[in-house]
Amino acid sequence: MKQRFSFAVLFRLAWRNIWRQKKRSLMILSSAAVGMIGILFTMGFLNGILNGMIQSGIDSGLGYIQIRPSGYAEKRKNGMFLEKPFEIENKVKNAHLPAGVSFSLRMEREAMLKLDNKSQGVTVLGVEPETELGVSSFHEWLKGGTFLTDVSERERELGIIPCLIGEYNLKKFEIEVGDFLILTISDQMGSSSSVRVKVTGYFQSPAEPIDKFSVLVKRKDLSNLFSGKSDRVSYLVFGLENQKIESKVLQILKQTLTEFQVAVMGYDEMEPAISRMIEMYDQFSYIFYLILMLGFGLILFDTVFMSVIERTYEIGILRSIGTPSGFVFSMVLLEAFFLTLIGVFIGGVLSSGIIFYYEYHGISLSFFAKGMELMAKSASTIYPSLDIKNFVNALILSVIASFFAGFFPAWKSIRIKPVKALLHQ
Amino acid sequence: MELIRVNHLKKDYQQGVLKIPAVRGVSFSIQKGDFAALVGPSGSGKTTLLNMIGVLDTPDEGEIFLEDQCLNTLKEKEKTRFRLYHIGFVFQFYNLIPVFTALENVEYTLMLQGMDKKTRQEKALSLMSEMRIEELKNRFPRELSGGQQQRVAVVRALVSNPKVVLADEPTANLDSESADILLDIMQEMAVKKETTFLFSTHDKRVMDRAKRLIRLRDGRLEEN
Repeated sequence: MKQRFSFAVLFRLAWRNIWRQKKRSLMILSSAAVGMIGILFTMGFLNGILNGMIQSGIDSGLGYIQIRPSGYAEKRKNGMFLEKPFEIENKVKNAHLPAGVSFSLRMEREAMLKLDNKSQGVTVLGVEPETELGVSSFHEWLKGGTFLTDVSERERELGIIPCLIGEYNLKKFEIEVGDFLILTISDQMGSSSSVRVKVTGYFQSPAEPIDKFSVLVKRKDLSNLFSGKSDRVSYLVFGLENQKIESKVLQILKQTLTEFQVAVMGYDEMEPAISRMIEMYDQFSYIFYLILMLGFGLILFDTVFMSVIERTYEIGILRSIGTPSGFVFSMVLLEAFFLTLIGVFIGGVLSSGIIFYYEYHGISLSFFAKGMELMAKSASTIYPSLDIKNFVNALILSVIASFFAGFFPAWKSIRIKPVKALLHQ
Repeated sequence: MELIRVNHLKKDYQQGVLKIPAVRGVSFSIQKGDFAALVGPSGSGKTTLLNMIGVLDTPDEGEIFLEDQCLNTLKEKEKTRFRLYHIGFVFQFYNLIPVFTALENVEYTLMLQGMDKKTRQEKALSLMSEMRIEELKNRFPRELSGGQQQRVAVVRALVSNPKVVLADEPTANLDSESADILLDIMQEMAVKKETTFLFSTHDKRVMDRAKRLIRLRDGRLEEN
């Protein structure tokens, strides 16, 4: 007399039950779908902000990977220089790095730009103009002039060096391409060392802080200004065509450069704020998921519970003719599960469509752009994006929500005594 | 041969602080193949008695035996299984699962018994054909008249060859013609399948057809 029930019949019964009250089911499906759109769109939007921030940082000089003097991570001083930088450069050139990797040497100093009574504190990047093109986007952001073309022979003799500044400073100093500024750094002796720089071009990046605080000169010029020699290198910076190869490149570089006193660092190590931002974002996203799922779970609970109460007589009939309590329990739970799953599917498809559209067209936040840039180096146009993790998280949480929302009504349904239920007609 | 034996059965219902006696020490037995009816006015304890025999309700005192099995000692799960395998139920109305077709409704108890799809469909269709309702097989309950619904309910009650079919006022909501058709079919099946039928009713049409009447009044046996 062993009872075995057909899961096909159980599924059919639960599936048809949810369509008995079409309006109510559509309402709950809409709630699930809207909740899902809310979750995924917000996640996509946050992904967009985060990716924008990371990309903005990477494009504006951070790069994906940097090779710094060892101990840099702890001290974070721009005054640290690589020992044997050109040996390191050769070693990297000969390392078997995957395709799509480029790198460049850089020197970095804090400096002051001055003209008349105006001044601006900046970070001056000494770059190799040819290889720099592969590791940052300054050349793409060029709005006027040229990317560090050399000054004339006469100007060179006068000690003038070419430089690239942000549009912000161009406006601040009220100058044009071809005009001059004074760049002052502290040299290796601790004294101030100044040089006339000729603005050969200016750029406009997606984030104003980059325009404001970044100045580019040739690495050799900066090194000469600092020490009278052209061999100073603060770090090597790497550009990648595909972010996915970052960990592999990091691994190869670490293995290749064991004999040097260097630290090979990914962008998240270089900019701890990014790591913190990613962590914060993850925590925020889980809280957000939970809040939305709690809301959805309560609506679902209410609907499923009401449907059980309304079907008391029918459940009484089912139990009277020998339906096991487990079957009734599973049926109610499945109804909650089906409603959730369909809603989540519809919401998933719709939000994918929305995200897909905005991933290419972007969402312009020019209205808030100023605040956002200052706050987080973020761009004024956000390109939302979703990865499979977002879908899987939302799906798992929805299923959990449907389980909890359906559990009590399902439990209630098996507590119904058939003899009492039959009086409900 | 004795199929059901009821000994000194008592059942009270609590209504607030009041204890309402529904069945007061009833004893009788039902023979295999009986076409019997519990009759009496409303509140006489017919349905309560039927529910206790169908192990839907438990007596306060007394015993119920089906063949030699005492039903009082069954646990909840055993009661469910007992109903599935040994009892067929026909209720007054809304007997059927609304989202299942007539055929699916008939198949349902066989499915719960774990019968494979092909066998249960053959069995269900064969009985539906015998009951002359095969053409209704793909209709949902909302597409059936009251009489047709009750006929499907009777087929569902019979399809798993139960020892007894308990029918609580099965004709109460039917017009005369539908009631006659239903009773004809039940009588026919009782003979063909040798199934025992026990009705609770105050419908004269049922009483006229019953081979045996068990009259109740105020929870007591008036006439057997």
